[in-house]
Amino acid sequence: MSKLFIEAKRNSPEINFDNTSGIYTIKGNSFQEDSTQFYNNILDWVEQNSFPKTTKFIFTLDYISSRSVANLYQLVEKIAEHQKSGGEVEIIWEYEADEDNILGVGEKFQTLSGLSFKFKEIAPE
Amino acid sequence: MDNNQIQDSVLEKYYSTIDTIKSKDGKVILSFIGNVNSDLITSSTYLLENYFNINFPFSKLKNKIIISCIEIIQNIMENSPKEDEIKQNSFIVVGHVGEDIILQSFNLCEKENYNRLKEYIKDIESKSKAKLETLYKKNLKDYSMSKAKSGLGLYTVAINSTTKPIFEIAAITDNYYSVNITITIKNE
Repeated sequence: MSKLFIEAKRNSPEINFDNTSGIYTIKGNSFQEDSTQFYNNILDWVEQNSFPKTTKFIFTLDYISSRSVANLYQLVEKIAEHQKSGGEVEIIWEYEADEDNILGVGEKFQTLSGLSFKFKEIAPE
Repeated sequence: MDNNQIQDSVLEKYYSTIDTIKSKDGKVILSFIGNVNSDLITSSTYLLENYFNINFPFSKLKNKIIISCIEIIQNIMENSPKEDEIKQNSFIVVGHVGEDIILQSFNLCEKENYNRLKEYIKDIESKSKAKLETLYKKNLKDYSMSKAKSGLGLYTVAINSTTKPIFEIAAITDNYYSVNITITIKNE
């Protein structure tokens, strides 16, 4: 299975992972009650479908709960592992100008993982 | 105190919270009393988003309030007792007074969790925002290794609060105690 697509809900993000193009996007809110299960399913897919050599991750998050932050960070660590084993990784972290929280989460992920993030300010929807 | 007396006392506190906001010429943006669940998060987010888009467009306030509200509701969901009769003694009120947004929550917890929560709160109260940020990062890293409870929720609330958050914990019965959290976020 080279693609993983999960439709966005009001409280959970759209997941669009494509191993063929090497582009992985996460977009929307993430404050679902079953956050751990939600991200475990994604981590399982990543385990079963290794990333190709060149990858691009685009995070466009809106409201994210601390539980989802903790779960999402596990995915960031998987990305860091991929880079350590020779993969080429580009991470784009999009945030709206008035969203300090989202920018702060990205900055924490960058510091903790050692990955280099490109922070991109986007216009509010 | 029996269940009816608990309910009466919680109702009294709920209306007193609302009256305090109104007495300062404030506006109640959101108020809910009852069994707090994930549907409340979705509806509160929608309601608060609309309010802040109209009243504080392009302000950093909106995100801080909504995230804090999500964390507080999830905190109530995680810590409230399982019995519906007890669980329904929870409330959340968000008020707008001048340039301040006040978020207040109330819920009951089982006595067996008292010491753990008391320590957690004491820890938060004793730390500056910078120290809380450091602790947040440490817990985030630890969580990814141990998958233990991250405990990031109340750190997030305390970091978002402009003034020191107020935590009040009091024994209600032999089996339950109440947790009252008040945070103030200023439009800066």
